[in-house]
Amino acid sequence: MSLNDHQYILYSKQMLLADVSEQGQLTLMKAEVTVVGVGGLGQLVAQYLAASGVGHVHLIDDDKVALSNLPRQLLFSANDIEVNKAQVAAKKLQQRNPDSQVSAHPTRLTSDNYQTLFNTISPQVIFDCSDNFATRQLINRIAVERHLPLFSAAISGDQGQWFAYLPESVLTKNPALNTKPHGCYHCVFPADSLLSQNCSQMGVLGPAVGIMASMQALAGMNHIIGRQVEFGVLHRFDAKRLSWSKATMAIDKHCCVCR
Amino acid sequence: MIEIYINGERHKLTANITLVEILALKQVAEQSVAVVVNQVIIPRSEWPHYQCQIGDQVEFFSAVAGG
Repeated sequence: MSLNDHQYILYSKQMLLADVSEQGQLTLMKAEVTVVGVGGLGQLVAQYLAASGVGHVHLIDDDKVALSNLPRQLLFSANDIEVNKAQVAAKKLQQRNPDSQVSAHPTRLTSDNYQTLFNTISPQVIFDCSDNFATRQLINRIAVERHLPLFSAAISGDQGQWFAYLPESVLTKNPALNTKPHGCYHCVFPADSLLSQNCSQMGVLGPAVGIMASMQALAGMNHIIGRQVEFGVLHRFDAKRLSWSKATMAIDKHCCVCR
Repeated sequence: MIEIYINGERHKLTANITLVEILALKQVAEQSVAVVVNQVIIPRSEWPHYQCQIGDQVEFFSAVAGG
């Protein structure tokens, strides 16, 4: 694979980064990724990935565009209301950048269908852009079972959280990643955790969602092009104070997912 | 007695107090939070026997799941 003249100009700003260069761009263009959830987080993650030339982007979501999505889900417009988000996003992103193949999977990811779905695709990383705790637990399990680096973000109200997780099976095989074993999402929040409020009951400001999605997309792209990523650290963002804090995700020796 | 910090506030508590005892003291339901001690998230299974030390910085926070 090599870049044509149009692609040299299109991706020039990315390739001007010394540690990205043409090699990094070609790596992005060979990458296959999965984005679960095409709402506030996912629609922006998907835009960054497809526009940067990531080879194949899978979008999984059964939800439809709603009027109340439009202030923060900027990929969608009023004409898209009541249409499946994964399909709308795939169509628009494919048109914007034909270098990236964008596939829509207009289905809800469940413990019953994920094996079938993931047997038909071959992502090298997974982005958790979902909007509920049960799906987040499932995606964490998929990352462990399928040996997929996970880039996860979430936001409700003014509180955002994101982390990158590398399954132990992956880091054992890739010592160059220079990462120590760390806890998974279930080690931090066991499946029986109680959330204070359902996200659908909470408000959120568009740029706050955008910040979390940008961090998630950036961490994932950094990993794909071979940059060092700090795995196993949960970052918390206070969108009111614009402040960040972080904490290491320790392994739960009794975790039923990653142990 | 030892001095520790809980969500940034200084507290004087009995030596060897565990994380479970701190949550009970603060009336926080165990299933509703993750607990950070000195910037490390301590798994819930360790809370009953995790004893706090002088100067520990303890924080609680809840999961958010929206997207």
